[in-house]
Amino acid sequence: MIQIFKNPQYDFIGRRKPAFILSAVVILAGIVSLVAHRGLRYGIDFTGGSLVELRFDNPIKTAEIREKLSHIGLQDAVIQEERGTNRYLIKTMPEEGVGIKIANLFTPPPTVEREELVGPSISEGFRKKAFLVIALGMLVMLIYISVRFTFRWGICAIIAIIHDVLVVVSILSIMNKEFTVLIVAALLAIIGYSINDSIVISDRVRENLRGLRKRVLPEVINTSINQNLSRTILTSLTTFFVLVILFLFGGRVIHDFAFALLIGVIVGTYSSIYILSSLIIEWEKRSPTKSRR
Amino acid sequence: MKLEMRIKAVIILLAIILAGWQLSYTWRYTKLTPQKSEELPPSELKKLKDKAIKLGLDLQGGMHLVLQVDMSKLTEKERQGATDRALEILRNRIDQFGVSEPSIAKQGGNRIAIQLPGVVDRARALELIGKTAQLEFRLVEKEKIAEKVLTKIDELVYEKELETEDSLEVFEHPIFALFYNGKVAERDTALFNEYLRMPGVAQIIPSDDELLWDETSSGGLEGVEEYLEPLLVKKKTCLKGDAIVDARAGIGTPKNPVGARVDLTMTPKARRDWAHITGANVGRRIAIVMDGVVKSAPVVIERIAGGRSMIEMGTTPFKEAKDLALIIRAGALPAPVHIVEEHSIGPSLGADSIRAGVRSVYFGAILVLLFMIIYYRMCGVLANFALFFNIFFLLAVLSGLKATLTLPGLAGIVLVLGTAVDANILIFERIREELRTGKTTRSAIDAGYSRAFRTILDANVTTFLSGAILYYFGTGPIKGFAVTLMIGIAANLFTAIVMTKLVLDYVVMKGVKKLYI
Repeated sequence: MIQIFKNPQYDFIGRRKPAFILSAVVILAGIVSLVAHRGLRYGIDFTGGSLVELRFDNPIKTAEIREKLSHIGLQDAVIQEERGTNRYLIKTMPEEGVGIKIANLFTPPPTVEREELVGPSISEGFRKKAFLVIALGMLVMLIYISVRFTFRWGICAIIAIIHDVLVVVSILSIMNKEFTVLIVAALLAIIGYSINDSIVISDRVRENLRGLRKRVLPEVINTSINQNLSRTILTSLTTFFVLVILFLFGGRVIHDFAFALLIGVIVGTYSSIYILSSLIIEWEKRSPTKSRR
Repeated sequence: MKLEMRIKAVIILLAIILAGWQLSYTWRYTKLTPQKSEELPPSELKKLKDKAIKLGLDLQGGMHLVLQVDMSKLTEKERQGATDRALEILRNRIDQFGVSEPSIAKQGGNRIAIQLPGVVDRARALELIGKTAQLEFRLVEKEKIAEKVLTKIDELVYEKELETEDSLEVFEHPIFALFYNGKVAERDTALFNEYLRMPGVAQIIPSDDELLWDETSSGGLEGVEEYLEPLLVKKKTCLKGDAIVDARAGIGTPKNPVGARVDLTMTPKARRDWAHITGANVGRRIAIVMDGVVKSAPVVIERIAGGRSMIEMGTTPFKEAKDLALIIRAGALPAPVHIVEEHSIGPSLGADSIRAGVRSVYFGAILVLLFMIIYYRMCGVLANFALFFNIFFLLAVLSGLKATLTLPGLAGIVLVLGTAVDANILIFERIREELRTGKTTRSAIDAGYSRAFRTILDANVTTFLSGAILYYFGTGPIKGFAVTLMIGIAANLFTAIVMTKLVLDYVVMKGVKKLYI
């Protein structure tokens, strides 16, 4: 039979310091990037506005589009070219039917492939909801893990999740990707995936602790991670490759969504091995729990 | 075979048959060629379409609009039901718009969500939606004149048809042939309208009249085709919607103690006009016209002086009376609507998305299937069957729940592919571990399953929970992702824990000594 690892005995726990530093560096870089970009680059879902996607039959220059737009007072619109196609994305303040208006500026008029409008009342709702959804997601996970494991595990798992979300948002900000409602959905899926991974390892730790008199938590956790290593790698790899396919062939509408999930799978796997376990060990070292389930 | 295994096998078989039955509609619907769908009776086609998996607007193209009802100019009392009235006006207009399967629904207190799937003339849609409502009372032309006009149109259309088409294929009385009991079947109204557009036809209709469709329900059974009456109506408006103070549906008319009726109350200002109009036209019909469609055309029985009128609706169901009252109230007090959200996807972009989405599902599936076979050999094949049935059940439940498949939904399926494999990997890795400790095949399978089960359950519950939160808070596209994720996880638990286990148990029972895992 094919096996990735034959009885692996890697020292994961011993390398927790470098892991902490790595995470801190990425998140710090994210914060610097957020400051430099003056916050996240929100999509129209969160800022409100109109988005028009035009498909021209013949190549056209961005400057020409901007010149035409100035005729109807839209010279400040954001114009984005979809490279390799004659498609352009134009973002303006919210305005009903602006797509037709813009298309009619050109002869022959381009096809309006997509038009989206998000009014200020809706985008405000989205902003509030996005935060609420992620916070609620974490709260539910905290409750579930506290019930199934211990409250301490729950807190550590939530910190690991916050870490994941921070890292993904940091990388999105560094790459100057747009923050849309779909990205919020991706973040929630990442939370689900990361918790999933953490639970698999935690389950193993709990199983291995049972029947052990002496508390040798670091060793038990390390053994558990090693026992689960094939599964972790196999699952992460299959999910990863499936997401690579989604990223490459899924179409441009969900391109960034797939990208966020891709980072999320890597980070989620990493955090359940390094962050969650390390946190628990550090906490136990400082104040050991009296009895463990 | 043990009884427990038999029961399991029966349950699995039933689930597969049920899912297959559910999916057969989608299969048949996607295999329909335009030619074949014309041969099918409309009711059969509708049933197929109804039960097939629905594609979201991002995949088939179309318009998604959220409108907000502007209540700033309404008084506290008028605000009540303002959204319902606006909804009724919009429904009325969109019905005329001719999109297949539009959906109009209230969203929260003062918002209305409209979905227009397929190819949509956006400019016209926006214009229709933005208009303020027009409710009018107009006199119906005398029947004798209407009859004469129709006869003339009938003759003219016949002549024109003879000129343009092969004389053998032209039948006499093209117009009257469409009538049945004085009404025209809904599906024939398009043809009728086409005849009306023929050159010369417009000149036959008196210049102060126009032909409108009377939508008054025939009171037919559900699902039976509606019949509409073409009415020759005066262009001049007798009274406008603002003349109405209130319109209420009720039961009991002078002729029929259980008949439905609608009571109208006019404003004091309109009372004199109304008395005058009704007094001068006893025995004639007055059409209540909303946005160019006749909603009711009652006969004037007597002069109405007090401003209170009653429309007797005979044996029409009470619901229709309520609808009519709502329409009249809506026209009396139209509140403007504004677009607060729009997502319009052109059909070519939608087709691109379908192609991309389906392609990535295929590629993802092939990759995972190959991987499982290479890594787990015979058990990999087993896992692949489980994976196949996972997607199979997922699609079946999706169509059973009448959920729509969106682009994020396709992404959800791809993600489910990834997590479905996880359950199998967990089980197989555990069985391998148990085998390594020297256990027999049977006890390794049992131990591996029972140990992996807890983990799989925990892991899936948490993912399911995040899906549920997404569903609860998400809007349109995100809901699609959440739904596929949740259904996929449920299907995953079933296939990995029930189906795969049964097959492995059976294999062990048959006395297989070595498991190819």
